[in-house]
Amino acid sequence: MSWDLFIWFALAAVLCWAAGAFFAWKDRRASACTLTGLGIAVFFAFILGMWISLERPPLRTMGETRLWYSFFVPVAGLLVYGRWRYKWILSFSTILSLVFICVNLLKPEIHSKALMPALQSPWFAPHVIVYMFAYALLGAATLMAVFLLFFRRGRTTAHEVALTDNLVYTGLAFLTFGMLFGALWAKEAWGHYWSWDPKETWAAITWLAYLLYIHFRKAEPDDWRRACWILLLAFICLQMCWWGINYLPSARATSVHVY
Amino acid sequence: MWNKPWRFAEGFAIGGGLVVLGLLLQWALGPVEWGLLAFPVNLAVAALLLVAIVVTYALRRKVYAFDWMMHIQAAVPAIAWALALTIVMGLTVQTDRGGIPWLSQMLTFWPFVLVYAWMVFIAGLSSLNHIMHFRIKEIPFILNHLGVFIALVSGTLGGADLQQLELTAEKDVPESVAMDEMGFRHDLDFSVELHSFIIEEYPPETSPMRMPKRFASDVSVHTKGGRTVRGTVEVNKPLKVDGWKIYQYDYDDSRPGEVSIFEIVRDPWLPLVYAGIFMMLAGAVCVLFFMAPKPGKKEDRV
Repeated sequence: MSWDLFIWFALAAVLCWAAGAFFAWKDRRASACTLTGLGIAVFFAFILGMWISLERPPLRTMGETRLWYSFFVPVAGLLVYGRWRYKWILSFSTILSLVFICVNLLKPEIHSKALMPALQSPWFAPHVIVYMFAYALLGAATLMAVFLLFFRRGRTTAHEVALTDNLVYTGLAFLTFGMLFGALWAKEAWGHYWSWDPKETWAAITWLAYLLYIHFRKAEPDDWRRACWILLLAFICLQMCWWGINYLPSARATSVHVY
Repeated sequence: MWNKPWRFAEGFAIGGGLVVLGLLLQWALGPVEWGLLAFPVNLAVAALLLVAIVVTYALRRKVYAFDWMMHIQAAVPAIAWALALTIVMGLTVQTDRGGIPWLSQMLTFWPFVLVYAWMVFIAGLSSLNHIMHFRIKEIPFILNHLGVFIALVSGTLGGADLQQLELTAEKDVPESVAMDEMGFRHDLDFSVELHSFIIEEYPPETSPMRMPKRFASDVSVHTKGGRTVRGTVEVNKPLKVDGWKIYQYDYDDSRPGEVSIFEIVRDPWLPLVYAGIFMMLAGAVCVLFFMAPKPGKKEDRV
C-alpha cells in the first residue's frame, strides 16, 4: 500500500459516507448504517495496508494522526446515529472527516518507515488511537455545544443536552485511557510516568476542563448554557494539546512531543 | 455569599484565599522545598492527610463548611482553580531556574500546590463519604475519585523518594557510582558492567537521514549479595534489579561501542501510584458502561 493510493480509498469511503448520510435524512436507517459501515471498512483497509507496508502503525506524524481522526469521526458518527437517531449526525461526520482527508491530500507529510526507538513500544498504538477516538467524540460534543448555543434559539431539548453529556462522558473516558496509557508507556521509555512535559501539561489541562464540564452539569443541571461555554473552552485546550503546542514558545523549547 | 447553602461563589473565594495564602508563603518562605518530604516525612504527611480527611468527615454535622466540602458544589470551583493555574503553567516556559519569577517554576509555586491540595482533599473526602454509604452502584464513583486521590497523593509525596541518577559505564569496567542532576555522586549497592553497546540503523532506503532503529547495551549487574544478572538494556525495555530500573539513556559519539550511559531509577511509591492509575482506568471503563446519562424525552424543552 502506498500513500499515492490514498485519494482513491478516501474517495470511495467518502462516497459511501455521503450516501449513508443521504439515507439518514430519508429515515432509511438500515441503508444509512450499512453504507457508513462500508465506508469505514474501506478507509480502515487503507490504514491497515499502510500499517503493513510501513511495518509499523501509521501513528507517528501529524498526517498519520489525521488519518486516524478521519477514520474515527465516522465511527463516532455511526455510534451516535445508532443510539440517538439524529438525522444530521452522519452528514456532519462525513463533512468533518472530509476536511481532514483534504488536509492530508493537500499537505501530505513524510511517511517514512523509520520509527525512532522511543516509539517502538506496545503502548504506542493504543495511546494514540484512543486519543484520536476521544478527540473525535469531543469534537462532536463541541459541535453540539455550538448548535445549542447559537442555532437552537430557546428550542433546546433535554434529549439534545443528554446527547452532549453522553459524547463528553465517552470522550472523557477515552481521554483518560489515552493519558494513563501514556503514563504507563513513559515509565517504560523515559523512566518516569509524568514529567510535566508541555504536551503532558496540556493533556492535564484538557482532562481537567472536561472534568469541570461533567461536575458542573451535575451541580447545575439547568444551566446548560454555561456548560456549553465550558465545552468550547475545553475544545480550545484540546486543540492546544493536539497541535497548538507546536507553535507555543513555552513548549517548542522543551517538549519531547513536538512533531 | 456565605449564606447557607453554599454554592460555587464560596468555593471560588476559598480557592482565591488559597492563592493569596500561597503568594504570602512564597514571599515569606520561598519556593516549596519538595526535598524536605523525603522518607519518613512523606509517610507522616500522608498519615496526617488521611486523619484530616477522617476528622473532617466526622465533624460534617457540626461544621457546615465540612459538609459542603463533600459535595459537588465545592468540587466545581476547586477543579476550575486547578485548571486555571495549570493553564498558566502551560503558557509559561518551565525551567529549573530563571524565566518568569515564580511562574516558571510552577511545581514549587505555593498557590499551585495549595490549589491542587485543595482539589485532592475534596476528592479524598468525597471518596470517604461514598465508601461510608457504600452500595454497589457507588463503585464507579469510588474508583474514579479514590483513584485520582491515591495517584496524585502518592505521586507527589513519593516524588521526594524518587531517585533518578545517571550512570556512565565503560566497556568491561564495573561501575557503581552514579550522578544526580545536581552533579552529586551516589555510591550504589550494585555495579553495572558493560559488555557491548550497539546501534542499529535503518537501511538508507527506509530512512535517508540515518535514523537509529535500536540502541542496546549488553550488561551484567553485580549486586552486593554476590548475585550477577546478565541482560540487555534497550530503549523502552529497562532492566529491573533489586528495586531499581536501568534505562538506556545516552551513549558517547566519540567512542562508538565503548561507552553506554544509563539512567537508573528507584521509585518506592510506584506500586501505590499504579494502584491509583489502575483504579482510574477501571473507573473510566465504568464511565463508558454505567455512568453516561440516558437519553431524555425528545420533546422536553430545557
